[in-house]
Amino acid sequence: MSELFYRSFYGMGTRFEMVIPEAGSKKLEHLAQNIEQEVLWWQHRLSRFEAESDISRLNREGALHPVEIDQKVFSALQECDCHYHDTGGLFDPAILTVQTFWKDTQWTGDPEEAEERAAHSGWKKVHLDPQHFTVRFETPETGIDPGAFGKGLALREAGKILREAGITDALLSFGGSSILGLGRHPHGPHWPAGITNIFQPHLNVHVFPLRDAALSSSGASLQRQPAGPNHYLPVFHPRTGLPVQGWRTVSVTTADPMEAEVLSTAFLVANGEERNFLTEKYGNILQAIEIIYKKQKANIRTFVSHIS
Amino acid sequence: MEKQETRRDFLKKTAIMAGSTLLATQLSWLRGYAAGTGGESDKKVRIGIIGIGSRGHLHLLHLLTIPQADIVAVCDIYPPHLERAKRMTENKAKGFTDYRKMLDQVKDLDAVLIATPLHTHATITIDALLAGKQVFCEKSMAKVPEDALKMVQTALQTGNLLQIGHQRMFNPKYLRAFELIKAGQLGNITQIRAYWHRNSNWRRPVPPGNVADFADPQMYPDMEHFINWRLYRAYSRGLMTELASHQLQVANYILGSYPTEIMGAGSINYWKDGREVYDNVNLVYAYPDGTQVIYDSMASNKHYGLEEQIMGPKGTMELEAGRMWSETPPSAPGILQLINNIEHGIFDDLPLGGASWIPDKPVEDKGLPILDEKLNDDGTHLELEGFVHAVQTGEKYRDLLAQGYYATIASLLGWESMVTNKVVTMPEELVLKNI
Repeated sequence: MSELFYRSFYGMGTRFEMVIPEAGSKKLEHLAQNIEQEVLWWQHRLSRFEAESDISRLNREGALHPVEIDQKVFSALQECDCHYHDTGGLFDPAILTVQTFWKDTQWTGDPEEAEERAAHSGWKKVHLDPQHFTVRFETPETGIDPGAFGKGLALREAGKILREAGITDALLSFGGSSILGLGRHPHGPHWPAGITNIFQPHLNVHVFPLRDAALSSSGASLQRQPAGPNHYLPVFHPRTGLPVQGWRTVSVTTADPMEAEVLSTAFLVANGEERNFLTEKYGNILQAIEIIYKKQKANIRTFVSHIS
Repeated sequence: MEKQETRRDFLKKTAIMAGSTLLATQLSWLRGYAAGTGGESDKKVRIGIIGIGSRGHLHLLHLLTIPQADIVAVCDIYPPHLERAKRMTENKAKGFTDYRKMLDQVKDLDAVLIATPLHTHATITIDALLAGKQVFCEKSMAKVPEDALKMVQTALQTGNLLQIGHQRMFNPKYLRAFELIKAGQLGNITQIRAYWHRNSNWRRPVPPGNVADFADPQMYPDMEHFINWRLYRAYSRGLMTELASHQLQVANYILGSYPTEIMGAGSINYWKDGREVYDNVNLVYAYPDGTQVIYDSMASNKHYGLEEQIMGPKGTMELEAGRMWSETPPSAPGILQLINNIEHGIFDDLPLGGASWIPDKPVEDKGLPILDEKLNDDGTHLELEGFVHAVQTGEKYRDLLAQGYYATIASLLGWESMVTNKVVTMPEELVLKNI
């Protein structure tokens, strides 16, 4: 019987699980503790539900004055800035006001008002000052929701801790929506990570062969069902302010967990033309698919497949 | 208890749910039901009830549903309560206003149930034990520790049963929790927090009448003191003896010990209506292993209700709510499959992914139920079933007596700490040597 090391803990509003195909040891225990500390560090810095987190302070005070934040968090926001530009604005974690609008109107709000809100908020209104590690919001409507990138960041850091300790093979999962496969499965060439059918969770719709790659999924789930008369999901197009519609999920694999996280959201909100743009801009995507459910039957659309 | 469910079905189900380990050691009366062998005997137990106010009335209602319980006598100095009790027994029970006469005159009286005001428990219990009766006495045992000790000593000397009314020891939800805790589900218990919050003045309406017509006026100067005895120091220790003792009993049982040091602060900060007992109490109980029980009770806010929160390095239980939480999350099904595959040398597709969790949203973790099935009894009915069965079989439940004793002592030492503003140490003379 092959040995393995398994640990799990709660973090960032979900469960973090790690499987390392080696016998348990003090070294692995120590690494697991480091990873938990790292993930919780990011949680405490990023969560907008913790009053003293950097993001909470920023959301409270960012429109009043430049807010100095932790340097690592600042670097993360710089990375968001790069992705905002690289995705042509499709990745925009600063449209909290749009999210609030749709929630408050119970998904029956006026699309024009949503667009107006989007126009007055978003990453275009976020100003980073790398000299002083400060962030300023141009408008009071601007607010950051780290939900679209936080887990990717934490997963990347967790992977780094393992690699630096010489661990070559491991599978890390953040609630199933963000997965990192280091190296390979002990009895196969990769980690065979299936995306399950929402309505039949024991069945895989598609299997991603992860080998030193991350997988991120965004969209509908049984816990997050399309809501309101138009079947909206709480993911929004940054320019139109319109929510994504229907039983749809997008899954993306790239080498980097943060990038996978960014792209699964961007692809979900993008139209056909915008998806082509993303595909060209991000040449390192390994695979990207969309699953659309009609009458609970899953249909797959593949945007990118550089994996045979 | 659901109406369509027979008492026998209920008891059998309860016995099964109560779990095996504790069942074997503490709930022997349930074994017959669990095995489906009809462990109950047809032998009638002749019972007299002394004190038929609110709690005594409830006990009478339960006892009337137990076929083996024969209520042959009822006793209360307050005429309306006595008359109500007699009516409930269809006047089959003989009525008394003096418990001593009841003990003397009722032929073949097997047992008595005592639900009188706290300050009378010790005298009545001791008299009943000395008269050869098996005794069920409501908690708390006594108003002062020395009386509680005398009650235990008398039970041991006479060899009679003395069961104290701590119904959580008969509540399947609690028993299951105790079993899980003893099995290490939470790790070594490192802290218990318990509280009981109400928002009421705890007063009962005082009817017209002259207390001297039925009670000793030296003991009760007026009807107010007779009816609202819980509010006065001559009769009660208030929140400590009426509420806290239940939860301190649970804490003692879980920690397998009694507190050795107690510090507390209490006051009357809201109901300044002439009462003499505190309307808020706040205490820390220190146990020999370094664990603390943090306790508070108040009468001016009910938002948090009542709860016992049991915490260890592996998890948390809330016993009143009947929920438990692990410090580590349950494994995702796909991860479990992965672990199984690796261990067995299998390489296969895994159902791992999906947009299954909501990002950056506070998760309301409702935990897992301690007991899968809900029973509509807080243990009160079951403790009376247990009492009747113990009288039938001659069982003594000495461990339960010790539980009742130390819960009372913890309550009373907590009271002492508050009124003296001092840290109180468990006196060596109050430690039971022979249980």
